[in-house]
Amino acid sequence: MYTELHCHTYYSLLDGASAPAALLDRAVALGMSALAITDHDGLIGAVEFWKAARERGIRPVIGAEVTLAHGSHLTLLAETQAGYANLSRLISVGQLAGTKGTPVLTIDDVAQHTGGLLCLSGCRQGAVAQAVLAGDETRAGRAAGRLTDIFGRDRLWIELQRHWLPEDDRLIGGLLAVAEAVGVGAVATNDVHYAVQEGHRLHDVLTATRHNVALAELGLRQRPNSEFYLKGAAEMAALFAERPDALAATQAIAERCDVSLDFSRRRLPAFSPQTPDFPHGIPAGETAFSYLYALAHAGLTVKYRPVTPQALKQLAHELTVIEGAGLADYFLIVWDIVAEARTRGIRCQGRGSAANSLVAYVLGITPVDPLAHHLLFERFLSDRTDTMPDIDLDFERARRDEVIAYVYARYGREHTALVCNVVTYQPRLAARDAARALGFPPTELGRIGAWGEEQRSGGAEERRRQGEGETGSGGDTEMGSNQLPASSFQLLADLASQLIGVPRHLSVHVGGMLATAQPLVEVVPLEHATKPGVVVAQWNKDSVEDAGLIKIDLLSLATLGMISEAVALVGARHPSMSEGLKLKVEGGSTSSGQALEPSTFNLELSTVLDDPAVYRLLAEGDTIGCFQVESRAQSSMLPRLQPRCFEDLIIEVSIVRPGPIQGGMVHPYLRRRQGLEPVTYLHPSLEPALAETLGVIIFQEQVLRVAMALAGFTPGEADLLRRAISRSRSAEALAALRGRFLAGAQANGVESVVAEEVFGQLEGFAAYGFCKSHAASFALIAYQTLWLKAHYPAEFYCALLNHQPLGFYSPEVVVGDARRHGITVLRPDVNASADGCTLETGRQGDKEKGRADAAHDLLCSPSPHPLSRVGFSILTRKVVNETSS
Amino acid sequence: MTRLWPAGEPVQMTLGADGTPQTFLWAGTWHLVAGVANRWRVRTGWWTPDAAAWQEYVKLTTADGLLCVLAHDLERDTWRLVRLYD
Repeated sequence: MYTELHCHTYYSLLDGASAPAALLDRAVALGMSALAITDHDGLIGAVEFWKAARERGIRPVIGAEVTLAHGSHLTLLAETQAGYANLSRLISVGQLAGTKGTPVLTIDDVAQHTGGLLCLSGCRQGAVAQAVLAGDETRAGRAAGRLTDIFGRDRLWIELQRHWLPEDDRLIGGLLAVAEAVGVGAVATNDVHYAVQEGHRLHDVLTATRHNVALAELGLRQRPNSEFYLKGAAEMAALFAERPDALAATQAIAERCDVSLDFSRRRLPAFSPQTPDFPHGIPAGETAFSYLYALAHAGLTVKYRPVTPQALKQLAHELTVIEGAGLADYFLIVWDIVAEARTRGIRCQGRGSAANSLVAYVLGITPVDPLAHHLLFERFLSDRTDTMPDIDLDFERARRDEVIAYVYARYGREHTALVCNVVTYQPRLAARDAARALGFPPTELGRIGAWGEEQRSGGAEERRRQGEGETGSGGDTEMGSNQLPASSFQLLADLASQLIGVPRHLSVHVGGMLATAQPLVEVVPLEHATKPGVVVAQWNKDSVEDAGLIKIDLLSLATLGMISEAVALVGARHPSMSEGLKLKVEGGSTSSGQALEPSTFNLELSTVLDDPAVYRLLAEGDTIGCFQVESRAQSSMLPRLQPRCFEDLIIEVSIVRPGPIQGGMVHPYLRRRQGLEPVTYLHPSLEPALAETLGVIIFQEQVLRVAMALAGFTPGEADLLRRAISRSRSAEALAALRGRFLAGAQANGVESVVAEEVFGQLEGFAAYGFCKSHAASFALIAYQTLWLKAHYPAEFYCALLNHQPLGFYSPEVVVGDARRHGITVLRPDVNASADGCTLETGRQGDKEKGRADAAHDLLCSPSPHPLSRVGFSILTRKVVNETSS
Repeated sequence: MTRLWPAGEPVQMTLGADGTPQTFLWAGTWHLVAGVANRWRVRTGWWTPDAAAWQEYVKLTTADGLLCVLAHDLERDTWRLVRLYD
């Protein structure tokens, strides 16, 4: 029996050629019971590998090939959980000590973190092998001796590889002599870089790309042959016929390794106790949960006057679930971040499924009342413990970095990092890099990139159908490149398509932060990001989630900054009409004729969302500059949809998206709203869930409600169904849930025909379903921008221009819209202009602000100062041109 | 002195049960393989159809005192003599 212990996936960037799943599938086919992952200086793919191995019944051996100073390699495998922690720590040490892309680990570093680790002496680039190849027996013995001192005889093996290279016999002989001299065993590996032999081509292309040359120029940097594929017991036995012990050792080593990448049990830092430096901390005598409980109830009395029994009941329910899931610390951590941001005057709000939670609402994390808007807590967090909650926070774009810095400071660099994003090859770059490797002329690469992109998008399909050639490479006439034969293009197309999806490099995920209870470096290795001073974890979102860790997304939303500025401008210009963030609204009436008393509109806290002026703007499609509702698709839909209340606005934000428009989803809703089609329900039990959308499924929350109402699913099961439908990752899982759905419906006395039709609707809806709570959070921001545009247009446009680029339209269009609304936009004036746009009162005198009298408000354009934002330089250039012509 | 044939002189090869060369016919004479000194494989040039090479080289001695290198084209399964050490 043989197990491969030295294996690179494509997470050995621009070196390994195969996905973890491909390697594991091959291992299964070869009858292997275990497989190791040993990527260069990283554990990027470790979680993916670990999960995929377990799904296939293969024992995963987690390891890495580390690069030591002087460029020598060493293979390390984690035997125990402590070994994994040391491995992750060692990789981090090496990565952080070096510069980006060039880790620097010393053998002394290794010596300090060997607990639970097994060591194989490495490939030809291992220190021992290099010495043997150089004919320096003394040095080889010394290197092996050093390793033996560090790891001990029972945790070190001399690694033997036979790749049909000229020096193999001499090298193996020398290595075996060293092994005997120091008294350690030998183990055979194959330094796998691709799953099957044919993968050597992709591997060569990646090597050429890594060195930035064509394949023909690689020379000695190219691996000499195609022997670095996953070989099974029979092939390895033929290669090491004289040393069966080296083969048997692979099995023995693999069986010793038992590591779990499920970190869900101790996933979050505990929220800190209260100290003079940290007044938000948990007071003495309280636990995280009891503190959360107190905060939530205090918040409840602020948001609900009076507190209703429904609210109390919902709060109690949510707190019970939160306690059961051990998430009290998580909520406190998020609450603290939001509170700190607000203390610093940074506008922020939560978005996403978290807005379904009453606890999040009363803690001030999310802005919309889940009870008033019929939201569903279980879409965010259910009684199933295998789903992770996800709270995303939006901050003013300009100040988000302050918040990130606060989180680093609060939880420490040892415990916090940004999550990475694995950037993979897309069609354009795949075609370009493949072409460069194949030696296509540099001048052709641009066109080839475009061609590559087209090949994948199906445009080429059409042309091929029309003008089918023998080899199907109708593309060569497109290229017009007569120097190279058509077969080159076939090879190019093959290689390019193999490259697509292969990881290319890591980048920083926008704002995803990871915080852990134990030192983060023991969970996932850290490395330098491209931006100086930024450190990133080697796992992406999916790996973080699959490892049971929780991340918090700290995102930026430029609109929030714009609103802040607009509000500040209003406060500055109308001191009699505002107190900080509260702006007085004149009376009027709603579209249904209800009288509206003059009131205080607190832009942060308002729950009164039916200002007729707002809905007038929407009905007229007059929405340039307004969040989420300004696109052309939106402004053409709005006059047809005619939102009349906030619920309508939520629907508007949800359905006018590329998906639903393509999928024809909008039309049934619109038709019913316009009375062109009757409002019907496939089954009466669906009415409570679907009445708000006239019987059409628009929201993800409705998927849960339908499953619960029709088929008796528990909320947790219903969320599972929603995820299965929207991810379409596992056909078997979905089929099983379908069976449950139909059975449950039948038990409820629903006809199977009806149940099947409903399930079909749920499936069809999958691509377009929108999370209602997320739509509600965004609709609130939309409402705020609309309100500002309606009541304080001068401040609105001024702030909008000062935050460009923002939204759908260029500054010129915004200025045009401002003028249409009666705002005068002045040219830059050397005496009067400041860095950004400012407001000036008109020479007609300062009048009381009313919408019709906006003519006296003037916007002063920015000066052509070097510090002006780029968008304005366009504006000023245009203005200057007008002046000079 | 070495004689080198870049293109290689075609030879007819008979292999043993385990795939090792046993005898080969070159220039009208059959040579018995005495021992195999080294074997290695090379694969390159696959990106240009005419230049693609997938070879296994075998350095061996014969009973009649030749030291030579034979190349086994792994794609076409042909054998050639590529180098003879005098």
